[in-house]
Amino acid sequence: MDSISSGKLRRREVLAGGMALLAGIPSVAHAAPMRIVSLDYGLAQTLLELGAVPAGLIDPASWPDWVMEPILPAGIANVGSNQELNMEMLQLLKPDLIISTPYLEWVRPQLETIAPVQSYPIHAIGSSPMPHIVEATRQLGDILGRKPAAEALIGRTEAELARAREQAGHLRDRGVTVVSFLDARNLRVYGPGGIFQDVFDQLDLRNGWTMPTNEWGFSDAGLSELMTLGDSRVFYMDPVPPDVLATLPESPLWQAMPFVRSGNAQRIASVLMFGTLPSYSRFARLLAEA
Amino acid sequence: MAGPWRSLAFTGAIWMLAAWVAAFNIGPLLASLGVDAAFTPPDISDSRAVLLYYGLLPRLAMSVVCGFALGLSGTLLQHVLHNPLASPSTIGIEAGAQLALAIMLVWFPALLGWNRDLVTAFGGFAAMLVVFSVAWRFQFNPVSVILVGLVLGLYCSAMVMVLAQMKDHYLTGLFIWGGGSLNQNDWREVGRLAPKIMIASLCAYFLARQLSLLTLGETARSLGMKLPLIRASVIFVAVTLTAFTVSSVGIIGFLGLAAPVIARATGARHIRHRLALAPLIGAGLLLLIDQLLQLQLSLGGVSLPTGAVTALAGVPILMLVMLRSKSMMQGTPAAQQGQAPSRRPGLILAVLVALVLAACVVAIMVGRDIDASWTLQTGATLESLLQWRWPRLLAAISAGVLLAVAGSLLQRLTGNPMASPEVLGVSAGTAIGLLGTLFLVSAPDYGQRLFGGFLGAAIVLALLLAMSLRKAQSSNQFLIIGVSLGAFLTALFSVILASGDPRAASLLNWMVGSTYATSGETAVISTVCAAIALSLALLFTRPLQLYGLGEGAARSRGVNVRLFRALTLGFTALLTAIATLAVGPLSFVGLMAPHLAQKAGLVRGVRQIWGAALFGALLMAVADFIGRTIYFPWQLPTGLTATLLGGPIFAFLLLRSGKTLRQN
Repeated sequence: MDSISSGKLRRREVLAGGMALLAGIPSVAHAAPMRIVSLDYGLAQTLLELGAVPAGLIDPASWPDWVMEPILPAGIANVGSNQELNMEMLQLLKPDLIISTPYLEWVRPQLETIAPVQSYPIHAIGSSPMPHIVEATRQLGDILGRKPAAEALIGRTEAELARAREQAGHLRDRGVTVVSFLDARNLRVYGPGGIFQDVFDQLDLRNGWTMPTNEWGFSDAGLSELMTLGDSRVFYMDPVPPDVLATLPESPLWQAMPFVRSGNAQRIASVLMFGTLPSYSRFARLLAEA
Repeated sequence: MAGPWRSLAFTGAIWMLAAWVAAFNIGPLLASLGVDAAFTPPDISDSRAVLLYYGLLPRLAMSVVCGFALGLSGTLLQHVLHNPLASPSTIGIEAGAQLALAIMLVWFPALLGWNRDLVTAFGGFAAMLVVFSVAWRFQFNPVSVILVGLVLGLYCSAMVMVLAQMKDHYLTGLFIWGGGSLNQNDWREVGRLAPKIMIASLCAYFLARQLSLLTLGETARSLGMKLPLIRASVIFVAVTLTAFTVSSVGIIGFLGLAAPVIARATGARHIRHRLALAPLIGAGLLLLIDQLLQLQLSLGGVSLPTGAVTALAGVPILMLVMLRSKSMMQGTPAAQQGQAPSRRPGLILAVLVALVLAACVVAIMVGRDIDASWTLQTGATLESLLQWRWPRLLAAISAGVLLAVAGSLLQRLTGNPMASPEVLGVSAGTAIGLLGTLFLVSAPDYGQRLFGGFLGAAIVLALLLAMSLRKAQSSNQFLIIGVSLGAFLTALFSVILASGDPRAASLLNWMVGSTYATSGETAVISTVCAAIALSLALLFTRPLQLYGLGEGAARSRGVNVRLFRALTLGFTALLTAIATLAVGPLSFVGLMAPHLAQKAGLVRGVRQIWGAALFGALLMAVADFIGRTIYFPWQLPTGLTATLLGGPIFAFLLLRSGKTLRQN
């Protein structure tokens, strides 16, 4: 529960970290680097961390608003959206590999005429995504021939979580909850099945939200339902719709929330809720610093 | 019991039921806090009292105010437009408001922070102005108002979906809003909305006297009244009511249509009675549904948008009531659009064929390169891209042909220019059938999906057939059922999307008419079907022509009317199912293509069907090309693009033909 990987891997962590350092030195590539297209932000995060910059990605322009970390290098081709992939762009990019999620499984036959497809079920599985994300990280490391980098990423994440766990003592006095505003009256509240809950578990924090969540790991809720959070610490995540910040402070309901009265509501920077290990580190760090 | 009293009793029953359900939600809190807690601002340290005073009660009040406003708005619109189909949703106001909000969210978020209400009200009024500017030319001819309104509403929804496709992250809130959420944070929203609704309602009732003169119809003109002006001002009040409501809580689609219809069906025949009762029925219904939703949530259910569920609940009620009542469908008979036949139909057809071919060549050869520059692709590049281009092009074209043929047949058969697979709900029936298949069979193949879709379409058409046998002249009833089914489908999708079902994602994809992943196999099947359909449709033209002279005339010339009608409807259902599987239920080609053919002067028999098919093919081929390239590397779904393209063409043609329509 406390550790991402088994103890055995822990011992290998130092070694792996060392190898990652070596890999960081501009090594002479043994072959032309693989051209990869990622149809998922989360998997693209992992690719970047493994040092494999994808040739194409869905909607790269929105990356800074939702993902932030790691920083997306310039010049990555836009292959459309999850709803409407641009098959021609994919074809023209001549990728060696397409990585995807089960969300796009229905177009797999078409994608496979362009390049081999690897699909990773990392979200919307109805349980903690963490083991699946770690598994996907290892598999990607395998495929890219960057096993050490994958282990290093797992180790890094583990270390970040451990550090955040030490720093998060001040958050343990009460429940912690993360919400996103859809508009001034409707929100998403995160719970079991998503990465935020995983980080809570790693940091030994108690989620103040106890209602059931969907398989993506959140509940849709009206503002008044936040009353059940009591005096939890509530983080509302960026991006917040502009009119919410303008109207919320005047709302008696918001003002009456126990967590607002005790000054325990605060804004937190955006973390990709369907992200991979870099999102874990980022969220844990933001929490610990809060 | 006399009519209005029966209706009043019905209204009372709805309210009692709503109060009973509300007692479960609010009763326990009231019992422990005392009745005073409902009327005095609580100490903010008492969270339960705050929840009651700032959460539950404003929401309750909000549902009453909104239900009242929508019920009144619908009553006014239906009355003044002489059309039982009229409602805020069917004349495009709600969709216009939603589009304005979507545009603000994507491009001018700062403005949104300034005033969300004003933005949506602006959109509603803008949509109304468009409909009015067209309707003005027809002197507010009821059918043309609805026709323009429907197309505009569809157009706006299509634009919202296009935006959502590209900016899906930002518009999540909009979907909640589109589903109609009654959640409240305090009394401010109610406090803002209620006075506005009150003033607009007073205006409405002040106009009631003029309205009752209007029921005398055209004779009022002889009294020296400026009929169009009064109609316009009544519509203005109705739109105001809707725009205010929509800007506060979002789209509660079906209420404005259902409330007045239910009032009339339960016995409120006179407009005076409906003006009094329909708003109360609207308020009671919305209250009941919203309280039921809160109850199921507190019992561990899922959070669902009230507006969507209202439509889900409203449609069956509406249909039940409508099937039981006999005297309510006294709307105007739909106008036939007179158009002189062209003297050179052969030439027109030849030009159309050439245009379709040209569009195909462009759609195959022209594209954008990796750096988004326009190029004419040839050789090896074209070869590699061809596998993506031809299936989607073929699927689009054949769907265009199928829908156009289906639309032509339906318009002929019903004698109603507004009839089409989309408007009659056949597309929606296909979609619902497909939905059922997806939930019953884990991974349905093409045959199973086609069967499900066909079954859905056939059930809708069988229902229409059964109704047309019972009452000969009720083409408006067809339209009501069709529009209801469309709303039902939209609501069903909102609810499925809100419930987070994994099947929702690919469904949404299909809904918007996405063809980017069409397989070659599907494309070939559709094409073969389109070719067969086109040849078979020609067999229908002669009987249809006789049929157009009247049933008696057709029968006397040896047409088995019943069999013919059943055959035509079954055939149409199959065509619609095949086309809808390929491009989704939203394209509207089935309505537009036959009209385009008529406007081009191809008015009769074989020519009209060929003309419609060619227009359908052309529209879809151009849509395929534009959707693929215009916003590269983004792509727009073909079905939506066809709607975006067809809307303005359609409006332009309507405006140009104003003279001919006005004479009807």
